[in-house]
Amino acid sequence: MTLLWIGNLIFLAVVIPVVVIILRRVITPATEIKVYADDIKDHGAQFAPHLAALSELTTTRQLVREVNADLERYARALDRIG
Amino acid sequence: MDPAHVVLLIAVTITVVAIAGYLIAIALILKHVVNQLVTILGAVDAVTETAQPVGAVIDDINRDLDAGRKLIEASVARLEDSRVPVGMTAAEPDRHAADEYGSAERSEGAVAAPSSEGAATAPSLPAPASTGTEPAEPRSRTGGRGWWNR
Repeated sequence: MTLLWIGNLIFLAVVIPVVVIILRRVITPATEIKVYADDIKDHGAQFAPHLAALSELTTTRQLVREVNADLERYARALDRIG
Repeated sequence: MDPAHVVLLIAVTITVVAIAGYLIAIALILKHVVNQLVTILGAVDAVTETAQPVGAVIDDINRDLDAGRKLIEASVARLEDSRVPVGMTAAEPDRHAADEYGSAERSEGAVAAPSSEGAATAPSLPAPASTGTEPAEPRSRTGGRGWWNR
């Protein structure tokens, strides 16, 4: 019976705190990972508005082609003047 | 039941409950993280699909701009080679020459001085021929209503 009490005391004083410490060491990084994931999601949602202008690049390309055609006409006119 | 057994049962129960609680919390956190990562992955896929053709489009734009620049440069070079700058046929007399009033050399046939760029391209052109008009007489310093008679 005395050994059982000693076992109980060791269990209550050592085993349970060790288990709690180990579990806390596991749950602390998991909590940080959760916070980081939330942060990444919040900031990642801002990508789309910043990249919306990329769809305008095709318009830019078309405008540059038109300017190039006008430049060719301008160069031909300069050759005629010269 | 012996009190030692009761204490042991209580301790084991506390331990099991603590372990279960922590494991459940960790599972919930991991589930939340997985959901967030799925959302982030979808956003990254969308960004990748949006930005995928950008390189080719920018290459096209750069190519067109480069071609336009070369075209204009060649045109301007041909134009510079073929045209003599206007006003390159005479040099303007020095305004600070010995004649204080400087009217004798400034005949009406004199052409305006060229720009500095024109002088660089044709520096040794001959002076213009006479236009047949005589240069104007210098102003008399005696008589008249000039400031020197006051």
